[in-house]
Amino acid sequence: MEPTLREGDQVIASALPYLWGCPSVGDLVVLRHPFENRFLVKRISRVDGSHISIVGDNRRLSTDSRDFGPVPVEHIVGKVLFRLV
Amino acid sequence: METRRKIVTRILERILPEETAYAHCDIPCGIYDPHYAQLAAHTVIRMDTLIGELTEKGRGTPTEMDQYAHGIARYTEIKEKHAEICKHEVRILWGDYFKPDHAEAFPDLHDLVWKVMMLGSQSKQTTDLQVGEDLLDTVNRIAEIFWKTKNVTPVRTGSHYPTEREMVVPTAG
Repeated sequence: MEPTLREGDQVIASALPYLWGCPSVGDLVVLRHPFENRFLVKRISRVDGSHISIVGDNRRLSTDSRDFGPVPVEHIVGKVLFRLV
Repeated sequence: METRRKIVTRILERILPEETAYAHCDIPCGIYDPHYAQLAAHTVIRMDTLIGELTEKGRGTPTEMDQYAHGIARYTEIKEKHAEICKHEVRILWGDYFKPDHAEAFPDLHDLVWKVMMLGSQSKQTTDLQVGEDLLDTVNRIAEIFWKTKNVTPVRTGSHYPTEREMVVPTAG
């Protein structure tokens, strides 16, 4: 996610914003990996009904929806609100 | 300021669950190179040539025929393996390195990859030198695209292999 985030950065993510709003393009989100038991942090590049496409800011070194396709919106754990400095 | 940051972080860690989120690819190693595919294509050409030479002088006494069969078996095995290595290496570049913006900048990329898959398979099916030549040429064109995506100027140069064919290499810099 460079240059937005660097390795080791700590962020605060919350699902609260999505209680009253919908995920939208440009949102930075933490989500569950579609096939593996781990979390990802990526940017939403497309919202298509119940699915989102996500992409890393560092496109050359990112595995995202360009590789594994759209992800169900339920995979979102939270929206990144801010980075701890 | 640093102390304050540490205190805030510690408080947040107490009240919020902490998990690790990954942003990169599987490793990510970031190390890609078309060189392996090029070497494999050169090897296919070399095996085609060696098989051709065997055929020319392979008819004769039983001992010579044994040597002929032995040679054919060895060269064919290596040719099969390297045709597959060539396909495998190009698949890695295509699947893991090249991204949509590369394909946009170089519209013939997908066609070239597809051509390598076809020519790689044909290389196994035939000893036609032209098929090996086409395979190498296609891989070299992919190598040129690869280096251009890294803003490195590629050059075609003599390989100095017994194949006496060209190799695409990045300019020093």
